[in-house]
Amino acid sequence: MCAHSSSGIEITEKIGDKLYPFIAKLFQEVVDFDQSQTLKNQDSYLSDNFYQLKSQFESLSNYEIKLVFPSVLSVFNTKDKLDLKPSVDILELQQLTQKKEKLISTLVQEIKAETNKMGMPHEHPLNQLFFVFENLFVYEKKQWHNMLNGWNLGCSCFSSAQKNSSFIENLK
Amino acid sequence: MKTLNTHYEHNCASCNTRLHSVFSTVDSEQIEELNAHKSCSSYKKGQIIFSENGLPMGLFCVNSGKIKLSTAGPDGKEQILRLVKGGDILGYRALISNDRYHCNAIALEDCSICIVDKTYFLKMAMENPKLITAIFKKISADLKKAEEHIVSLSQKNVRERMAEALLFFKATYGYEADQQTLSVQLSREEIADFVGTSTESAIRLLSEFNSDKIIELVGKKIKIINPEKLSKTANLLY
Repeated sequence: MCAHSSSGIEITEKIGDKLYPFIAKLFQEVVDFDQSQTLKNQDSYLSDNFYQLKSQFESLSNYEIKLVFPSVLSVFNTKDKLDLKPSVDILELQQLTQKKEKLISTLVQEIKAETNKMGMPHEHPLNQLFFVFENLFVYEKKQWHNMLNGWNLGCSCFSSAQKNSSFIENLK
Repeated sequence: MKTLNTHYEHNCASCNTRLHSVFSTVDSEQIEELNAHKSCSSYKKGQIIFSENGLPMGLFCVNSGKIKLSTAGPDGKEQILRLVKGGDILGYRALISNDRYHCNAIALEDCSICIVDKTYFLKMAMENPKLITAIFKKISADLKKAEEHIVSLSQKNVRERMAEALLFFKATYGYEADQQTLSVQLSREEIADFVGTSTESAIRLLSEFNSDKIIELVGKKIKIINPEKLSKTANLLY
């Protein structure tokens, strides 16, 4: 059993089972709170950005929960079993998710700047959503990427998987 | 950015471009008045005609040259809203709604443009039913174009998401021995779920990608035949 697999399971559960459902709930709270208020009555720019943020977040969590997390965890404990070796390219998955995370952060800053300009009430649930994205989301995703980078350097399951995918790339 | 422009004389009565503009229905008496309430300037390629958040002083009538109306998107990238050419009017939205400009107007080539005084133009429009009808038609045509643009943008967005999904599938499952066929067989419903669209749209998009020679559909399997074009389509350079 690879020593890193338990920390892998722990962090993917933390993000997939706790953080993402919590953020999804906050999005719903914003939508419910806002039925007749801020977003709907504002310029479509703010509303478009909010719904783009929601859609990007849903897309990221969908990819991570269904593809990325299971793929990363599947790499553990297969280093000596070539027939079980998954053909996942962790580096590419990491790059794809980081690009989506960057877009999410940009959208959060855009929406925040826009709502600051219009003086949004303090009790609006968007404020909590900003806080969660700027703090919990950024922190947990940083932990996740640091862990992946660490595994790439120090876990033989990972280096073996990357070698496998580089081998496939070189065949092209 | 350059901001200097050169003034020149131009008579509305002998202006051929006017005949293709909203002022084509204005009678000769009003043309003389219009002539007295406007000034004309030449702009070099790249010069700013008006800037975002500026207050409108009048209505711009383009005699010659091409102009782009643009604004910066959330990522700071320039988004061109519309292109304007000789015979078009410019800046009417802010003028009529008594608002600030919501975009920049920049000369794409050397241009000659007249500006009609704001107060005079609004008074003239109120007194001239043919002119106001022409302006309504112009606004309606622009609105129609903008709505068509929204539809094409939202479709482009789904296209990007489909390309992104294929990149995720490639990174997750890799290729079969031919190094092109995705090593996974997902149903069209499953693909649609990842893309966040209907199954019908997913089928249509895959077919479009097939026609564009980005992928090749072989039964239920998907071959990525142009990975570079696929990455470009995904537009992941956030």
